[in-house]
Amino acid sequence: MKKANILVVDDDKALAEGTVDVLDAKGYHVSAANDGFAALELVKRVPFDIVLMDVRMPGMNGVETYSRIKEIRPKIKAIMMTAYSVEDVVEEAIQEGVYKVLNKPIDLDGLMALIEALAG
Amino acid sequence: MSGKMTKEQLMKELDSLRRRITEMEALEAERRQVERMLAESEEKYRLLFDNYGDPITVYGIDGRLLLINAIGAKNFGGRPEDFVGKSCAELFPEQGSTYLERLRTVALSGLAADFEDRVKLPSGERWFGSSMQPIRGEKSNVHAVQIISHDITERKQAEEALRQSEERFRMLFESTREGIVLSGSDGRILSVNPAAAAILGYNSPQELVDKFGPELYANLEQRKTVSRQLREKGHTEDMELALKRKDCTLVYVLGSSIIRKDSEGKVLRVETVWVDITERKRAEKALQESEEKYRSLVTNIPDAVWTATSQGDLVFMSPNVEAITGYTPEEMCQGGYQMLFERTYPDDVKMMMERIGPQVEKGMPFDVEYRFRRKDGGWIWLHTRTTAGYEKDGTTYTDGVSTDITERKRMEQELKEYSENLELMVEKRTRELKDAQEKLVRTEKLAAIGQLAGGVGHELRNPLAAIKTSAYFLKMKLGKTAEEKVNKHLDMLEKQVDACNKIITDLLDFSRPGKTNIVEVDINQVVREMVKTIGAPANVEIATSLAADLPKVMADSGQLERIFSNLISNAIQAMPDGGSLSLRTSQSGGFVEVKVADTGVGIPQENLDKIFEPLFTTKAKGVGLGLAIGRALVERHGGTIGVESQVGKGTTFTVRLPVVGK
Repeated sequence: MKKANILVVDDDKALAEGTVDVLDAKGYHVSAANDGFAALELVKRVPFDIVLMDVRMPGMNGVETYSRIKEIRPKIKAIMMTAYSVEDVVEEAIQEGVYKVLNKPIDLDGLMALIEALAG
Repeated sequence: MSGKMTKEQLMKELDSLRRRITEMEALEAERRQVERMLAESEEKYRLLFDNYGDPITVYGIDGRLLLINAIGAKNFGGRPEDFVGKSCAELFPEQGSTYLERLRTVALSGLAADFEDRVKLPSGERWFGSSMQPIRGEKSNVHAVQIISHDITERKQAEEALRQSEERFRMLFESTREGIVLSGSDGRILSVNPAAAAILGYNSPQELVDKFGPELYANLEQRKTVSRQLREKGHTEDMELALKRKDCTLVYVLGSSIIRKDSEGKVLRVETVWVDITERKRAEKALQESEEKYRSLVTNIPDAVWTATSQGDLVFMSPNVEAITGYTPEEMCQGGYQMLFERTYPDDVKMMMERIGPQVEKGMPFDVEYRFRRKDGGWIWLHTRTTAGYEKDGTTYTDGVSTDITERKRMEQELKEYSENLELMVEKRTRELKDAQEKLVRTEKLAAIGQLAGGVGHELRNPLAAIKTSAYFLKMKLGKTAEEKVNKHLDMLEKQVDACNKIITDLLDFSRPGKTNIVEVDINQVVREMVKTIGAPANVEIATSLAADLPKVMADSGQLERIFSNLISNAIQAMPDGGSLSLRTSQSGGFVEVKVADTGVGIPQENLDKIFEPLFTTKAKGVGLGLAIGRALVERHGGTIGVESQVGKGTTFTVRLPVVGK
C-alpha cells in the first residue's frame, strides 16, 4: 500500500536529495524538483498524491507553485516547509489549502507520520 | 334937499338925532362899562400877573425884558423894576444868545414853543419848563413874546433819579452772570440779557426775542413741571433744568421763575433767572467719578489700603483686608498698631517696633516685611509700606498699603532650595542622559545584531535541515546493523542540529519578537501557570507569594511567559546544588512587581551591569540573549527590570510593569 507518489520541491539540492532518499527508503515513489517551474512540468506528467515543498524559492515561491499545481491536480495534498517563521506566508498557505506548514529543520519522525496518514 | 325942511322932516331929523343920542349914550355907557370892565380885567390880570406862582416874563423882540412878575424877579434875586429893560444877555450871562434866538424864532414864526432849561439863579441851579407865546399888536404883527415858566426841578430830579436807577438796573441786567429772561403771558420772549444769550449759545440777546420760551427746555417733563408750578404757585425756585443751546448741545441751569400780574390779576410777564450749573455738574460728575474710581481702586486691588494717625490709631482699612487676614476692617482698626504687633510673628516683632515706631513719630514712611497671624491662626507674609505723614485738621496721618507676599516668599524659598539642589539635579540629569544614551546605543546594537542574526539564522536552517535529514537517513539505514558508537554519533548529529536551531530561534526572536497581543493580564495567573510547568530538579524548592487584589497590567501574556521562564531557568541553573526559588508579586506606586529570587551562586558585582547586554554570558552554553531579550520585552511593556545579587547568597530579579491606567 505504500505506493503513494510524492514530489519533493526545494531549491536546497542537498536537502531535496536527502529527503528523496529517506522517502524512497520508506517505500514511496518519490520525485524531486529544485524550483516551481520544474515542479509544474513533473506534475503534468506524474499523478502525484503528495507534494512536499519549500516556501521560499527563487522564481516562483512555494505557495504560488502550489496554487498552480492545484489547477492540474486538484486532489494533491501539500505539506510546506519553511526556514522562516513568517506568519503571513503560513496563513496564506493554509488559506490556499496547504495541509500543514513545517519549520526547518524538519522533525522527520513527525513528517513520516504525517505522510503516512495522508497516503493512507 | 338943502335949505328947507319940512316939519315932518325936522321931526324926523329930531327923532333921528334923539335916537342917535340915545344910541351914543348907550354906546358911551357901554364903553364906560367896557372901560370899567377892562380896568377891572387889567387889574385882575395885573394881580394875577403879579401874584402868579410861576415866573411870567415878557420880552420885546429885541430881547429886552418888558415885564416880569414878582416871583420871576424874586428868582433873579430882586424886584421887577430891578430887571425890566435888561437884555437876555444881561439876565442870562451863559445862555443869553440861545434865548434870544428862541425869541426871534417864535416871533418870526408866530408859533408857540416849549423848552426845558437848567438855569443858573442866585439861589442855585433850577430846572424850568417854559412856554413861549407870541404877543401880537394891532396889525397882528408880533411885537413881544410872553414866557410862562414853571419850576420843574423836582420832576427833573425825580426823572434823573429814575434814569439813574434804570441805568443801574440796566447795567445789572446786562452784566450779571445769571441769565435773565422776560416773557410775555403768551410765552414769547420779550427780552433776555447777554448772559442768557451766552448760556444758550446765541450771539446776541436780540436773536432770542420773540422765540417761544418753553421750547428752550430739552426735557419735556421739566417743561411740564415748570409750567404746572407756575400755574399753581406763581413761581418756581432753583429747579435743575436742561436747556437746548443754539447748537443743540445741552446746558444745565438752576432756574427760578415768577409770574408778574397787574392789579386785576392779569398776567403781565414771566421773569426767569438762570444760573449756569453745567460746569458745576461737570465738576460734580468728575468728583463722583473720581470717588468711584478711588472706591473701585481700593476695593479691587488685592492689597489692603489703610490710614493711621501718628498716635498709631488705625482710622481706615479697605474692605479687602478681610480676604487677606480674615479680620474685618473694623476688627483690624481696633487696637491700632499695638494690636498689629500682637498679631505679628514673635521673631518679627522687635524688627517691626524698631522700624515702625521711630518712623511714625517723625512722620516718615516705612517699608517692612513680616509674618502676620490670620484670624484663622494661619501665618502669612505681609509687605507693608507707607507714605510720609501729612497734616489734616491738626492730626498727622499716614497712608499705607499691605500686600500678601506669602506666595512670593514661598517661591523665593523654593527658588533658594532649587538653586541649592541645582547641582545635584544637574548631576542626576546628566546621569539620566547618559543612561538614555546608553539605552539608545544598546537598542541600536540590538537591532543591528538582530538583523544580522535573522539573516544568518535563516540561511543556516536549510543546511541544518539537510544535515538532519542525512543523519535520519543514515540512522534509518544503519540503525539495526551499525555498531553502537555509530548510532551514538548519529544521535549526537541530530541533537547538535537541534541545539543550533535553538540558537537560531533565539536570535530570530531577539531580532523580531513577532506580533504582540496586548490584553489585560492578571500577573498572578501568569505566575501560577509558570509554576506548574517549571519542571525543577528535586533539590530546588519553589515558593510563591502572590499579593491579593493585584491590579491587572496591559501585556502580551506569551511574552510575559518568555520573560519569566527565562528568569526561572536562569535561577534553576544558578543552583546546581539545589536551593530555593521564590516568586513574589506585589504592587508599588502604579506598578506591579514580580520578584524572581534564587539562593544560588550569585553574580559578581562587576558583571551585574553587563548581564542584560546581548551576547554576554558566563554560561558554558548559550549565546547570552535571554536577559537581553527579557529586558527588551519588559521595556516594550513600559516596565523595568532590575537585579540585586550577592555572590554565594543568591540573586533577585525584579520586573516592574505599569498598572492599567484608570
